[in-house]
Amino acid sequence: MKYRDYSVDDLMNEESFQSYVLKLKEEDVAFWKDYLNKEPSLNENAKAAADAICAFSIRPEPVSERIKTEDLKRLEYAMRDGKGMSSSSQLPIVKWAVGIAASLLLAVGVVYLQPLVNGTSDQQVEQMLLEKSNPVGRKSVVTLPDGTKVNLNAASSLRYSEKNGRREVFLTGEAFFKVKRDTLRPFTVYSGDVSTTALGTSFNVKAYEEDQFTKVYLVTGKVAIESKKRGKNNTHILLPGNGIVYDKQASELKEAEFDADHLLGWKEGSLKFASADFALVKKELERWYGVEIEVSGQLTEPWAINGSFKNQTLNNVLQSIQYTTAFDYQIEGETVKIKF
Amino acid sequence: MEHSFQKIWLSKGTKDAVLSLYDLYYSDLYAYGFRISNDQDMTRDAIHDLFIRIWDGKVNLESVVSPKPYLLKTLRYILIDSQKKRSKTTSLSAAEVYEYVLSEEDILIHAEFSEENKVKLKQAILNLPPKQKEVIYLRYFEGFDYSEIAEITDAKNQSIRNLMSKALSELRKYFSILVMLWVA
Repeated sequence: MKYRDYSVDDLMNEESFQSYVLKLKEEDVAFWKDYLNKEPSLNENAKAAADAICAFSIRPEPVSERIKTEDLKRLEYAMRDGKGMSSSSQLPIVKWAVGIAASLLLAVGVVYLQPLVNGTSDQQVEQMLLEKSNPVGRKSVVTLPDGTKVNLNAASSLRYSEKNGRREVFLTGEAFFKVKRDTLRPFTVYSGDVSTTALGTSFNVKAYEEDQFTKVYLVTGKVAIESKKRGKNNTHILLPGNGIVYDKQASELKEAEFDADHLLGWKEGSLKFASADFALVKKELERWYGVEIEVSGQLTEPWAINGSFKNQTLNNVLQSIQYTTAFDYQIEGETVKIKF
Repeated sequence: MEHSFQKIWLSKGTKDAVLSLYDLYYSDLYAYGFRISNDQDMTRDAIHDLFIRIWDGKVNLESVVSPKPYLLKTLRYILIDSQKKRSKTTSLSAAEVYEYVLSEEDILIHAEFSEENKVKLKQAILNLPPKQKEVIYLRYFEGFDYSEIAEITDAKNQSIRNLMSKALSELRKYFSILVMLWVA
């Protein structure tokens, strides 16, 4: 018969034999069981081939439920506009088929279906879809359910929700947004008194609670910035390459020039200083490295630190600063002691 | 199962059909896509894109008998396309940069080897050329037959046969050496 003189290699390369060993198809399993019974001379080779084929298996770890659920929400949202075939144009037979599909879905995905139905049936209800926060010393990249990409800086947090067909982010700290274009659903970042609204664009918002200034820098597209405080209402349209500064104390919006390289360096792991005084350096280092800096002694001369540190250790950064300014330091775990 | 899917194809463009496909195949799509792109965001975007195409009726499912190979094939196409766009700035062609990334955790060794030799066999699998790894993955993990793998990877049956044979004979070489070591 056909396989009688097969070598170990021949058997290993035989598709139906693999299928028998890996139990992929019933008909192959039945065939080879029967065949090997009838051809005992082949058994030795068959065993060697089977051992080699079965020496390993591939078992990728399943994707996390969190990711699956997040992406389901995003998909569900995208399908909400009804770009697909509308139900009115469907034939009766298709409607009947939908019934089958729906019951099949119920059988396999009860857990997901429930929140979904609730979410879509009432668009007026705010849907909190995602929350992310970074401790000091950690940066992350987040994809929002609508497809927007966010680089979230250290010591920052955001909350994303969708309400009345609007996309809303509440931000504390700093983030860079690459907004998924969707002209029907504006994208607004709320950061304290300042809100930034965009369609499809990319921009950076720096709004740490403890900072006096909130800064927005636009890279591409067009955004509208609004500030609200003590009855003063200000709107400002920003063009690419420009930035705006909001002074929390004076409640004022002012257009300002930024060095894009400087402002966006954090995304690429570059910590940058331009004529930075001691207070600023201290604050940035604390956020960046997740440390607390304790100071003793008196500052003798004002600092004006310039420098760019790409993926450097805290020790390296402090050593570099020491070249221009005199101080001693000690790193003890998460505490840094600086002595003037 | 297959019979039910024929019904789902008929209702393409409806939310329920798309969502049931999503629920059934998301994990497989993610696992395969991630090993092509080695990039979580890119994989997730591509899967999103795939289902939106189905929803918009741009992907025609009516003539498709079994959905899984077809979905994997389309996902693969989307990912390679976006990698091409991404690598436009480099001088390498997409074929030159094609990687299929298996990790050590993806592989389970069943042979009764010492831990050290298990690692060696794993390493041998990881060192296979990308296309051989991809074929091994689709055959061992997904259990596709040669013609399905050919359809997914846009290749001829014969080249799948060759890739599979090369991979297995390479692995058998290691396997025999390790068996001998083990016996000795």
